[in-house]
Amino acid sequence: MEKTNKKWTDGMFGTEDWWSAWLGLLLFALGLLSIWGLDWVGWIAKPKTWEFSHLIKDFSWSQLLKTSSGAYKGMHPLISLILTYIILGFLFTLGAYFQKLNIRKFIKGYTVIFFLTWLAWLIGHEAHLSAVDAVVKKHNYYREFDLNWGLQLGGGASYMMALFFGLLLGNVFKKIADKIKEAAKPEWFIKTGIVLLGIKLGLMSMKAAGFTFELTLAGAAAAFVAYLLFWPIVYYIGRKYFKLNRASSAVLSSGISICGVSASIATAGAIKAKPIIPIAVSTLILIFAMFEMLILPPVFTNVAPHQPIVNGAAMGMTVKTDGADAAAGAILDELMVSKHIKRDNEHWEEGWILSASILTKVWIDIFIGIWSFILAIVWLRNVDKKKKEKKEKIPLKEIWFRLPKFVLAYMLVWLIYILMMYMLPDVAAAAKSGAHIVQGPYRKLMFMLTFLSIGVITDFSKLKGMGRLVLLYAIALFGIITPIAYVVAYIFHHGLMPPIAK
Amino acid sequence: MKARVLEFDLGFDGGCWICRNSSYEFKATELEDLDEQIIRFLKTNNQSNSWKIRMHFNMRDIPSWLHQYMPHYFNRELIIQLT
Repeated sequence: MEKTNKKWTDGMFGTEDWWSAWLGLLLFALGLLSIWGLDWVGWIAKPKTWEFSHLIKDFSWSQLLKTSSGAYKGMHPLISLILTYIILGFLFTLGAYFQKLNIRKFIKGYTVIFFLTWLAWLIGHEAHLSAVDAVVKKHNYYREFDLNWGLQLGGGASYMMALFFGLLLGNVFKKIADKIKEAAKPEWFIKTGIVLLGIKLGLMSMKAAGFTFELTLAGAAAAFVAYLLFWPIVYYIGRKYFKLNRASSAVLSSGISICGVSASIATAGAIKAKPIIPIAVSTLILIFAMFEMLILPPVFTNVAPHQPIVNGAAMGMTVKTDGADAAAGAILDELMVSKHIKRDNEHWEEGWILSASILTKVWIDIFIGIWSFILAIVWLRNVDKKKKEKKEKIPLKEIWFRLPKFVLAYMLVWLIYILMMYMLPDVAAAAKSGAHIVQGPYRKLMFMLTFLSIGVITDFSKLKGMGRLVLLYAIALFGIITPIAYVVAYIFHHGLMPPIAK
Repeated sequence: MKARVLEFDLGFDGGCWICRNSSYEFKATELEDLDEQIIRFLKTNNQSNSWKIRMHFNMRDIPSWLHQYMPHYFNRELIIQLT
């Protein structure tokens, strides 16, 4: 089977990365139809906050979920849910077809993942888990449902529930996990979600352009510094104390210090390492990313409750893989906003902490291709054996092939909103209603699908037998990367605070 | 003299790099050894002294669960000037 990259256009319809861009841009375009008064996106279902005893007393589906816009108010919520399954399922299956996945397995897997995700989403919206004792978006569900107790996790409850379901499948019900793995695509779901997050950033830019610009610049600076600091430190420790060879040390350094799996594969490719090295390192990264997702959000929330943007940016530099970082950023956002409301009765606008996390990661993703190119040149000049008759060139296209394309779509949708805001403000205002739905329920569903899928593909037993690599990874990540990342994030982001929600 | 171009699919079978197209196949545990084999073959070929060898890694040899993170491994371009 042919899966090589030769021309600039290779992979445009055959890779997940491109399909994240296409699906994200399609949903974005459909949302823009609100400019002409058309609502082609509001049919998507979204969960409501509900309470157990109320539901038992007087069950109705409309207590649990509803459509996303008034234009579809008359639609039965179950119809909305089925439509969501069918339409999004069709779009993802189309992508799966072009990527030459096993379509039958994909559809079966997607069905299980979709409905389990929704189950987690609904359970996570039970008031005892999610409702915060404060007015949030004009409601204090804690008081409205007259609760005696509550975990007050906000939206974080749903994310944790999805992760729990996924981990249960991935580590206990492995036979079921194997059957649905064809559709467990956390990177695909989260990259599509991140493209939609570009819409949110566009909307946020309309409200706070200066702050958004500062956040973007700070993220770029922090990512750049992180590359320069982390990589050589981990490379040195790997070579000197753990006696790894050059290739393994380089791949691990990129994996731990830059962007996880994508950076480790990009580095391994740049230095032409045997594929077994990035495969082993990637397994390690994915499992540790899960630990990071579970540990870091509550730790950051409780250790530094007054540094939301610093925490977000530090998350972006610490948590490896786009999926895990976005997931951890989403949990952090929910936990910090809820905690701040409870403690200070002040409602930080949602999404800024997540955006700080994503922006740092986006810059890191952009630099991966450039960093790999630099490493390839360094390796060719200083490590590879020379021969008189042979000269090796590194094709410039390598930067393009390694550049994550979803990042381009993310920046494009953001740029379009900024241009609309400055050049066509009336159009921008009309675009808002569609934008809110696409970056709201659609994006959150993508994040929920990511959480469940990450859990499905994470098998903790794979750590067995990896010996010193595990030890090096743990020491480097928690002993070196995380503290330095926090200091770097603090240097570039302290003083930045999310706007207050109106 | 303009260099003649040869394009290959590059793969890895778990132990060896394999470089193949519709006419030729080369196999070695290290890339340097693979390049040596190609150079030795070109010396016997006599068609040209100047060659451009393009190798495109085939992603089927990277587990599919990793493709979502990075859909590209590496391509190589060698300029061979035979003496």
